[in-house]
Amino acid sequence: MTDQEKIAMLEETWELDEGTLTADTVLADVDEYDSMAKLSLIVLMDDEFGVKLTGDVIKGFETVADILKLMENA
Amino acid sequence: MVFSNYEGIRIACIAASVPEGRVDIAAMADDPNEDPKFVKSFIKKTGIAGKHKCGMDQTAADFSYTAAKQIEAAGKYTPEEIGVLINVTQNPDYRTPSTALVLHKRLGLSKSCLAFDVNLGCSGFVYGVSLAAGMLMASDAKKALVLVGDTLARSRKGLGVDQRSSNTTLLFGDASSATLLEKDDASRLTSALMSDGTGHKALSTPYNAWKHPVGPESIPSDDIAVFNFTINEVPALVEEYLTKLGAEIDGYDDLVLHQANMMIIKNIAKRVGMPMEKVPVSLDRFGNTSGASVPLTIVDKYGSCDENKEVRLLTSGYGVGLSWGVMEVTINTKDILPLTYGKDRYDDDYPDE
Repeated sequence: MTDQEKIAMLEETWELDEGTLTADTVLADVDEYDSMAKLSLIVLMDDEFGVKLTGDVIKGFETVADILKLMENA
Repeated sequence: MVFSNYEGIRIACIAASVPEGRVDIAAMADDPNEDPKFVKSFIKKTGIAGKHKCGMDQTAADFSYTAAKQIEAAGKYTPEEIGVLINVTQNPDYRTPSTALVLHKRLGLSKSCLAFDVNLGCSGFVYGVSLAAGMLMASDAKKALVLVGDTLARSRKGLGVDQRSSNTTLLFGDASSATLLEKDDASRLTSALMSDGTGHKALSTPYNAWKHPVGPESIPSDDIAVFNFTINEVPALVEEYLTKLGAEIDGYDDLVLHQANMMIIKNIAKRVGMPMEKVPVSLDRFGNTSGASVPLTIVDKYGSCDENKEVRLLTSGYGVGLSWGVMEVTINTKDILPLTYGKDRYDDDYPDE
């Protein structure tokens, strides 16, 4: 799966327009990245990549690239 | 899990009651004191567009009383038949005694009846019914009443009414339920219960009790920990319980889940393999009603059903504790009473300071 495909999955999960995110996007700057978005990220990572995210791991995410890295490891 | 098998016990009747006062969350988007974007986003994400909230002159016990009296009025029990009264609540009338004793008086029950409160939240229905079933099976009591009710929407001191809404203030609705258990040789009840005290801080109101006598009314919950707990532990327990029973999820008419929020409901349903058509939802109109949400959802779906048919429901409650459980409920739809809007109030003659 390419980074672009992974980013598209994140955009779909958070209901963002296509092209909103890049690997460098700072999550704190994304209005839609709220508590519920974090829950939908947990589901995406578990269902699609078999990765169980804890609160501490999510707190450590600064950019979209940090999430993409975990998708790579799956 | 702790698996329990209560031979000769059945659920004879279920009733639920909510306050008349309705909060239209959708309409809040037009309120100049609210943030419309936040309100719309809340509704979309949680699925909660309305709820019922009581005033300062009513407590959870009033709605539990209304629901219990409805079962009595339906001819399902007489006060002297009740030998077990369990009141599950996080919002007791008093610090002491147990509100169950106040309800014992109000319901006119006999002295040959044990009565006490249990402090549990969203797992309260499964726990309360399981406890009562065990006590009924082991005793010479004829019938048991399990009351489960909270008023998490109503603030304790009447504060916060002018504050802008937040996730917590919008999420919860007020409701109570009453469930009647009786002996029946041809029936049995089973349950699976679990606890994890390492999660006691995930959902907690630590202040204004004995360890921290003074402090804020509430503290933020650890939403991620709670979410991970529900979507992992609940499906695992459902699977273990079904295996123990030798049952399949397809064999149930409905999966009745605690109405936490839509995301949790959908994810648990997906993970246990139940299609959403067989997962009734009441939170869109009643919010998250804590321990009463499972019986309220049953009443919401079947309370006005004219058919005389037996339904087999798989129920699950999960939340504060952390505490969770699963229980099969087999009941005739005529024994599920229509929803009531509680008007009862209790004047205890204590002066307010």
